[in-house]
Amino acid sequence: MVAIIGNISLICAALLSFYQFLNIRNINKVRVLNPDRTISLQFFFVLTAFFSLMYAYVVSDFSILNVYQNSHTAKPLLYKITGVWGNHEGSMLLWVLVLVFFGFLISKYDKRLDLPYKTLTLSFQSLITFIFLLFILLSSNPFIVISPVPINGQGLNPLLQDPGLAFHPPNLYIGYVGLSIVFSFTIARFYKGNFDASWAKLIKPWVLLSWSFLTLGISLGSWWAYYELGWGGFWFWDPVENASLMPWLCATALLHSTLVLEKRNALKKWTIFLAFLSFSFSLIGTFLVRSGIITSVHAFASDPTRGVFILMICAFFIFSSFILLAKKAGSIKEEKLISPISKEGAIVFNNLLMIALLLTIFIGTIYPIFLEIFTGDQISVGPPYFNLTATLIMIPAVLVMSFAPMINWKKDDLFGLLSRLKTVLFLSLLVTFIFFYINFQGPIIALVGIFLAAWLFFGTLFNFFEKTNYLKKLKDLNKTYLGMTVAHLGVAIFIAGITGSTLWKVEKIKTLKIGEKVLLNNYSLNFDKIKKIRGKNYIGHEAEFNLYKKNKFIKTLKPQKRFYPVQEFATTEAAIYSRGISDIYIAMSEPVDDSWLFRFHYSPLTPWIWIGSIMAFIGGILSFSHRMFKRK
Amino acid sequence: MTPKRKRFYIIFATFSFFCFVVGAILIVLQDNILFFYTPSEILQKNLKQNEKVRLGGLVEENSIIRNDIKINFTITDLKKTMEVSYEGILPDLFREGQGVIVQGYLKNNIFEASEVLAKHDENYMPPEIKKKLYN
Repeated sequence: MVAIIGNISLICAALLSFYQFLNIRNINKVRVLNPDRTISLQFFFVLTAFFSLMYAYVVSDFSILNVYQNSHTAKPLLYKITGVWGNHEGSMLLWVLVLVFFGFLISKYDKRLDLPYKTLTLSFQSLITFIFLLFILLSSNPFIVISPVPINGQGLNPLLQDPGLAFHPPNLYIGYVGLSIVFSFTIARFYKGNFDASWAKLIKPWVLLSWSFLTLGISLGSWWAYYELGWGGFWFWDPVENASLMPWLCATALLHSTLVLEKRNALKKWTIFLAFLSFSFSLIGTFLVRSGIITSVHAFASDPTRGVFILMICAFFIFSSFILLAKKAGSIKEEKLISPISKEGAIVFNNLLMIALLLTIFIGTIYPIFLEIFTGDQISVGPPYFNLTATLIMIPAVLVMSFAPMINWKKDDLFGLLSRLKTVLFLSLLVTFIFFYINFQGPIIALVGIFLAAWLFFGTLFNFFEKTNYLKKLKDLNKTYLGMTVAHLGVAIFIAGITGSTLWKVEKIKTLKIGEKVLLNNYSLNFDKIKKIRGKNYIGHEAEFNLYKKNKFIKTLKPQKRFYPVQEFATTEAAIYSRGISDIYIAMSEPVDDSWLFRFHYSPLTPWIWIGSIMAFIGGILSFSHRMFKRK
Repeated sequence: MTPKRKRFYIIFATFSFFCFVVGAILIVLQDNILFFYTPSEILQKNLKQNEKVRLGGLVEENSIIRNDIKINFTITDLKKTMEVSYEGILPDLFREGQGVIVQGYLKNNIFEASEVLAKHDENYMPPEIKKKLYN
């Protein structure tokens, strides 16, 4: 029954989206058909399909293959619900749900669009929806029925049985898929042909929204990896992580280039190019993740036919959009050339660096695939490559980022600008020196990281004070400007976070008997006891550590080792004590004779990675809400 | 400068910037690629001293010897075997008879692993190993 409802809803949604796409033909007619109804219906049908799958998971309906393969009656309710998108078919359904949701948002709430433009945009959005629904129906249908009905399911991968699964994929998808609407906006604009400031104003909030959620989704994923995988790192340069970082870099470039288009009516073709590139990379990301072409922690069971299908979808959208751009490029008039010492000059600089970083990550990610195809050698590109290139590219980017918001549009005076930066330079050097004094161990590059973070932080604050006349004019402050300030401060805090976490981390791996202790910086961890635990669908051990700082008791930490009998799979639940400026991290391994093996970390500044990312998210949302909902 | 010439310079500068980036990428990339071998392959190759590679195969049954945080085990591709020594914590999915990938270098015919990777699909078999062992 559920399968029938699901299939019919998907087919109805596919037909409706194809119908809406065909409406493009009628765009020249006097009366343009309002797309609101078909868009709402698409949303309704996909939502129905999604909820019927969720229902099948909640009641453990094992007559549906997808539920049988990924669920189990003993699984907690939360993971029955989130398990819907913890597998390929379900996650593609979530993808399409977000796709139609964006269409719905535009048709309902974006009142700034005129009818023909809205119809065209939503028709292109419907084309994307149609193609992805076709992909689901033909190769990834979550509603395939099996008979006889199995007694119980195979269970969900225990690594995914974590609240992280509830938040990470949906947020990431809002970001990924949000870029599709920017793509549709751009393609539709070719009908009118005027890519001017008003167009930049139309797409800007949607770029902001996708960018914000992409930021949130990526940082939630890295936080999840940090506490669940038990190795204490937050970023591994895994191909799937790269797949989410590439559209983010592109969206970051786009975010800034639309500003130039809006204020100076320049960088038109470049902005169109970035809008296409961003969506292309969210498709390429989907391809890399879903095809299983590269080995990765995320590449759970894969199927090559799906890979070919997604590759065809990628090729279709990427080639058609770039051919369109190449053909029409001549008719798009660029008016102004850009002076290097100006705000737009600084933004061009940012854009070039973002795209350069994108290129390095892209090459590092796909190089192994090409090499294997051409030579048969299997290789992998190690984190040192990515760390080195990313650091080299980010240093100049952050140096300029600090003062770019203070530069005037059109033309500015370099020496005047530099003299205004004296205070900022002094404060950043002071902070770096203090760090050097307190914490002089660690490589020199760590001081560079701290200097950059301080430079960006004080530069942004300084500009904020100048702009608000030392907080006297706080009320007149533009919310988008406030959003930018919060986001840039977030980046500064984030940079300090990665510097501390990667360069000052102290790691100890030790076997301990009960009663023994380990010393970590100023902390002492006493291994107090170990006990057996039993959860709804796992068994395991829990250790208890009492954390002391200079003989003062602080907290009891309880790392766990779990074993999931259904999948014969063990997981590590790290215990983390976070003080806001540093983390104490314990991961439990296995028994060795009569003691246990543990991994301990003292990671300074690590929480700042997520604090900074959340600030960037909030900043983006502030600007978005201001642009979207301000009264004219 | 005429606008046309200015535009030419801009395009030229952008283009050379990206050429420079790609060139730099490829140079850095050369130093950071890790080849992936099975025990039979690694024995045939003449690896340079301290050349970092990845080795993959199955963990041989009853081959794990623990000594505090030191661990020794044997990786097999069902034809040849290779002894591996490692210090540290093994990933959750490490188990006898199942697929594993280690990263490190060969020293006196023992593979000194600096990392043991827990990259598995849900059938506990890294795709690289599956390709090499069963094709």
